[in-house]
Amino acid sequence: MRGHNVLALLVLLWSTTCVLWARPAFAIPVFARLYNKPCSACHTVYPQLNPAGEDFRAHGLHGFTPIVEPLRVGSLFELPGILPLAIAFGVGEDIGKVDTPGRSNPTPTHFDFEFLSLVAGGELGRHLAFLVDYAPVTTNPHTGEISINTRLGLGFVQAHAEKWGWLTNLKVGLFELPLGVSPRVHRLSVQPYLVYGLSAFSLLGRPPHRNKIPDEEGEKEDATGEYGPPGKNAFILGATQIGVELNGLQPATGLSWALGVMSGSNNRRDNNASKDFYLRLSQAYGLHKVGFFLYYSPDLLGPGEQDQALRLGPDFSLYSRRFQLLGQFLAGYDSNPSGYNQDLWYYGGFLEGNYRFTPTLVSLLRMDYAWTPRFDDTSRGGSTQVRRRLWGVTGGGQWLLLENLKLVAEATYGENQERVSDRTVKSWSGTVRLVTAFWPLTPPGLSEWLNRRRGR
Amino acid sequence: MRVVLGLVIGTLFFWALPSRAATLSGTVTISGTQAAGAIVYLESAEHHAPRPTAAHAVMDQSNLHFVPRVLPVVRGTVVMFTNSDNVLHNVFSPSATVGKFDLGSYSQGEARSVTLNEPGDVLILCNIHMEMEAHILVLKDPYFAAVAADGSFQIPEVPSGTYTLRIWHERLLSYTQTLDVPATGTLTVALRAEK
Repeated sequence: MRGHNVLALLVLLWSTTCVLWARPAFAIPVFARLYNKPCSACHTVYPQLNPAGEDFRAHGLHGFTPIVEPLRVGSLFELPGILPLAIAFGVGEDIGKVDTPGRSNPTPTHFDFEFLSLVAGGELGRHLAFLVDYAPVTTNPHTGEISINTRLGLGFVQAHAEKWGWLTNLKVGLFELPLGVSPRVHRLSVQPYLVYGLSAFSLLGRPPHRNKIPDEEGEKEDATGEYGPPGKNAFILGATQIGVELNGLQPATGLSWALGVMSGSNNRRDNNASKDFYLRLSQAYGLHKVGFFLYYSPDLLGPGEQDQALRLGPDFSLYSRRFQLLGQFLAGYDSNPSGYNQDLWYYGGFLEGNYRFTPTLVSLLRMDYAWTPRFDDTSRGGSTQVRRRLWGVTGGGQWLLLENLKLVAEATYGENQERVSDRTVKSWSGTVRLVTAFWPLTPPGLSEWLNRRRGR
Repeated sequence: MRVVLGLVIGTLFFWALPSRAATLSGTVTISGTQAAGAIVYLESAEHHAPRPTAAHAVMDQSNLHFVPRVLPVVRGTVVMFTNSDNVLHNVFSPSATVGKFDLGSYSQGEARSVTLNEPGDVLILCNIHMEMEAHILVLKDPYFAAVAADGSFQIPEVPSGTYTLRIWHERLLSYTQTLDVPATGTLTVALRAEK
């Protein structure tokens, strides 16, 4: 048995013991512990938010009464009364197969330690809040190889104000783009959304010019390979970005907007001096929503020739008690992805349906799709000719065994067709995993003791 | 004029007399166990003037539950849905037979109401929290009682006559029984229903 399998089994054993033995209020993660609320108050199935969770987010992660009085630091600043920290991780069996033209490859399966992350968050007073997600250990789902990650996945501070009927937030740090569906943090499916993970470079099947995307010295490749070319800071919609966002929601009308400036280099060092901009407009009709997203980058790449980029498209979400339908369409434009002044448009999107049989059992089915018209820069001195079509179908289910422990089963079949060379790569993958989030080190009774001490 | 005055005084005198009504009491078991949470109610084939009832009833949303989970009301009652949770809630009913409604989503401290005119079982749900579920039993006549934890119930001031006694319970398909209620006294019944 390989070393990481032993580690995965040990962690599974330890966490199962912790989850089963800890009292529910202390076993569950950050916000549920801070406010003594069940996860279902704000989530359909963790981590996907329900409208109450969206409302909590629109209120700047405020609105509930903490079970332990926060510690006051000055007149404006407060610290959470309990350690606002949780561990989230998953272990399970992964299976995957990639068939290239004329060759059927073997189907490796491995028991993986899928991920481990530390989540922290909470209020820092009436107008401030923070959220951090750091995954020190990640696993390559294709090889099972574990790697150490030194980068934050999410980390921001936000200021909240309510004035003239608007809920407004100013967010600074590393956060997700306000797309139609949360690309990563609150995504229900294990499988990432195809269109959020695309870049012109991945569609062209070639990395950006080496002299245009300066790698950071000594940087290892992204082990998960989830988004874009590994080890590069080329902009990906689905990755968290470093920047500043101002957003607002008018509850009376359901109108919301978000305006942001960011480096556009994912959670990495900025690759150039120019900054990117985005705008999102959204209108809610009861629990349903339609929105539009626009992202503009004056230059995605590093020093040298410019590559202007645009991402834009509408999205919608229909929400009911049992059923959710989510859709996103995006068009992408890069003015000069190969360095030979040949522009590329691409289009893509997804349609996802989630059906909840019971409050603890949800199924999902998703269709991802993306395509490019023919790209040919040979007349300009390049060597790239591509006309690509990508699609995938993902189906699966999730079952909440406990409030903070779920069993996930998911399978994906996808094809990557390159029409110029008439080459199709077929792949399918599946996973069955246990996912949990908890904080086992909070001594039982601490909250009660603190409350007694404060005379509550 | 004297005749009219006499009729008015006579009518008022008649209404002022003690009503000729009995009390119905008893126990309910469903499949041998006490039917706590069930509703026992009477439906009359004749028309009886409804006795005065509270014009409003309240169903709260607290700790991700509707409270009470089962609420019997007489038709025409305005039911107010309050939200005591500091979580956004939504109230709607898909019950087509008694009229669908959706009161939308609202926050702590807010309340919205609906008038229920059609008799029947109104399923109350929250679109945001799937686990939240309640029933409002809209009744034709004001003769009903909730069954206590020990399985007992009591319906006071039932005018004499022939009624259809029904039991409503979440896990019971239907139970009906014809019952003659005397003019006075207490009628005691032991109701045994099967799932």
